[in-house]
Amino acid sequence: MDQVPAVERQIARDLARHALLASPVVVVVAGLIRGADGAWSAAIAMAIVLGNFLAAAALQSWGASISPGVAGGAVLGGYIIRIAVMFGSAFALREVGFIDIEALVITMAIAHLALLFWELHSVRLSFAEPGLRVRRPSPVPAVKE
Amino acid sequence: MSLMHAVIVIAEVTGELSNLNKGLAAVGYGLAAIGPGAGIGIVVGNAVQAMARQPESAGMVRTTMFLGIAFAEALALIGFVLVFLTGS
Repeated sequence: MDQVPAVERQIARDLARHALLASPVVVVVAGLIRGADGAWSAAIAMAIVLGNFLAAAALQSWGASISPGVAGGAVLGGYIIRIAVMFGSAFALREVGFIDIEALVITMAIAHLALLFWELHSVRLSFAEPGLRVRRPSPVPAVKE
Repeated sequence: MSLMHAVIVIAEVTGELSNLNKGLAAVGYGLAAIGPGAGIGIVVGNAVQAMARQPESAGMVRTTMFLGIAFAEALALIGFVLVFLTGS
């Protein structure tokens, strides 16, 4: 499996680019709805979601570089660890004074899904090369006989 | 006196219900995490099978696998959003 490029990292890089583009809008909207605490919470939620994607990509490409079996183990083990870390960080952040926990968790879920749908849109045309935009195919020149 | 007693009983029951609500939220999240776990297992199993059958399509399969796993994970995320919204 070594000859296959680390597509997970390419997708995660593309997701990070999208997240950086969307973050200011998300923070401003959360700030308008829930105030300064909401804006801080939304920013932290975006960072957690992005970290989750990057960690998932790193784990999966590491596993896939060894063997499909290790990839499967890394994915399933990584799922448990990442969900536990996200739950634990949200649980710990609940006690922090400037955190609006409702804004934090709702932003996490919505940002996760929105970034995935955005990425799905990006890869639907360039399925084997995520993150690249496919150009319209040039017309095939007529063969002269 | 009986009215006061009734108010105290209602307050105790409400407190117990609040604790019960938190416990139910935790149990609900545990149940909500089972589905994505099973889904991810199915995705990974089929992806490994596909890569074993057609190694040349591993790039496409791994792309699909990554996105499928992330979508399944979203269900677990929604579960813990509900825990924090209802159980806190």
